Amino acid sequence: MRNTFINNLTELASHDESIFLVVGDLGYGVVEIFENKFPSRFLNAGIAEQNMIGLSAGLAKSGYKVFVYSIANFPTLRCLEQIRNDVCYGDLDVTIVSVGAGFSYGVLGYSHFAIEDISIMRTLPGIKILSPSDPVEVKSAVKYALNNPGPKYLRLGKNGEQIIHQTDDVNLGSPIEIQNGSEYCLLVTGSIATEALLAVKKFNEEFNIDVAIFSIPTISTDLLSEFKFNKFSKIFTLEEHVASGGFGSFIAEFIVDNRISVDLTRIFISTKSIKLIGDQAYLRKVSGIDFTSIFNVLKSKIIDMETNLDS
Amino acid sequence: MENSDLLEIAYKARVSVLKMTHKAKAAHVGSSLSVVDIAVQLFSQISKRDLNDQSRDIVLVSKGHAAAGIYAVLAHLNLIPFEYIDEYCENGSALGGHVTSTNVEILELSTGSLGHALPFGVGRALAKKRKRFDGTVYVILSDGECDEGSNWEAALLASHLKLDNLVVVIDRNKLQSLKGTEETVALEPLSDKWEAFGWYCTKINGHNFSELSAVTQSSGFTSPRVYIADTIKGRGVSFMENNMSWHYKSPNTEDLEKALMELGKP
Repeated sequence: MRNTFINNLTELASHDESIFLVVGDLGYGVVEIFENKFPSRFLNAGIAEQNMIGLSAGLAKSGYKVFVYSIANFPTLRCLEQIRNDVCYGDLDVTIVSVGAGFSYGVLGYSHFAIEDISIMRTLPGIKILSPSDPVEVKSAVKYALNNPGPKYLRLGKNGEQIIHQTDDVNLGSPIEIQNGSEYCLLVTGSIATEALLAVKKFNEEFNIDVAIFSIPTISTDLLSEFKFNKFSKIFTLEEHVASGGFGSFIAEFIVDNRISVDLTRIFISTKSIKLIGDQAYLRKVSGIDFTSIFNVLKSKIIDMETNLDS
Repeated sequence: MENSDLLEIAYKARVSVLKMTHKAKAAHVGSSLSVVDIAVQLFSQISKRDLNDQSRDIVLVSKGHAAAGIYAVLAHLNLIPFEYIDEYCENGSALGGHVTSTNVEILELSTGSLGHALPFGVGRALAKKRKRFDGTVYVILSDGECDEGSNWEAALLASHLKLDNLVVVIDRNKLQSLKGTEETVALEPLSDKWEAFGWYCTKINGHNFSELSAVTQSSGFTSPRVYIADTIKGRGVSFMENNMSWHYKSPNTEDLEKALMELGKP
């Protein structure tokens, strides 16, 4: 995802002289392509995130479309007030790009888990949150960021994410169907979508029931306005993020606010696992969001519960 | 503008500060009286006030709590309407107790949490450099605010980038929120610190327009500059000067009358 991001940004920067890239001393082997091509529109702000966001707001006030690139929680939580006061209150065109969504940095430990960011960022006024599930969505997200001035947060995985969409471009303005299904529906954000696909495949093989999967690339109520929740009897949400205020929480709020009557089950990271060491696959497993855990939730809510009702 | 004009504006602004904080029962009268002369110097001397002119000078107020002082100065320089300061802090009015850009575009960065304007100013100054625009970016800091790490992050980068179009003025009134700056987290030797960060640093009298004029005269510098402006918190009103309680208290009717008598026309 990070290479897709930087390659697309670099290409777009050839046509748009207002694109400026600020990095927080991160992106070795990734950001140089932009720096070498556009040195006058690049800055390494060093390891100083408060200053990095503050100066990015200043650059945006001067007419630049600023992209700030860093990893994990460094460009969000470390400098939250600069985002809140300088960028969001000022309604400035700054896109904060963080590599390492969820457990992408796995063995690097809790400091590098970006698992509370959606919750915290989405409380800020006017910010748009982009959470692509694969490199195709990343490409569309960069274009979306350029066409939508104002504060944005782009949450990226790391590298080598599986391509889910077989098209070159996707519309980020509505839920994107990545698996057909009629009665049950799984809404997912971010690269954890690949676990959803595996779980639903296994579920279909075992019970011959299709569960629809939709990728939700922007955490925005606009995106859900046309979505037919009532088409489904049960809705599930999946995120590589904690429960409080995250993606499932966002869906739950939408359902309540719009008086939608539907059975909702949220699948999220159990924080009991945050002190464990392991890679992304391991951490997804121990925190209850890998494909087996998802399969088990589907089974308990669709198969076991129906069986109970019948008996 | 002649120094006599600046003194006249500063006097009127101080009168307004006292009336505004009295009427609104607002805090930070001491900080506001402290910063008035610095603000008069900067907002009266900056070139080109057309906000669309990318070569204009920019003044950023980092010590947002001195809002009454800043607004009073802007009103007396005819940069904001007088009704704004008449309605200071009233429900539904334009101006609250911390510096806002919402209804005052010339201020461009809303502050109130300390340590925000210098990083923003680094971005503004860097953009001028990269786009080859003239103009200087001025940032008014409080001295207590130098406790904030974000200022030192910005100071480090500004000198690395050789931002000779960036100027900081520190309102050095030596009092912060509970006690003096040196009792709280000692700042001295403050100029040594800025110099060690690669800034040109000099001390001036922050209530003397002949000395303050150095701030807006720039030529031949190759680094960012900082002026440590020696000031008195509560300047102009004897019972408020250097008195911690006027960081919080607002003048009652009796205080106001006494204070206005004391101010004395220039």
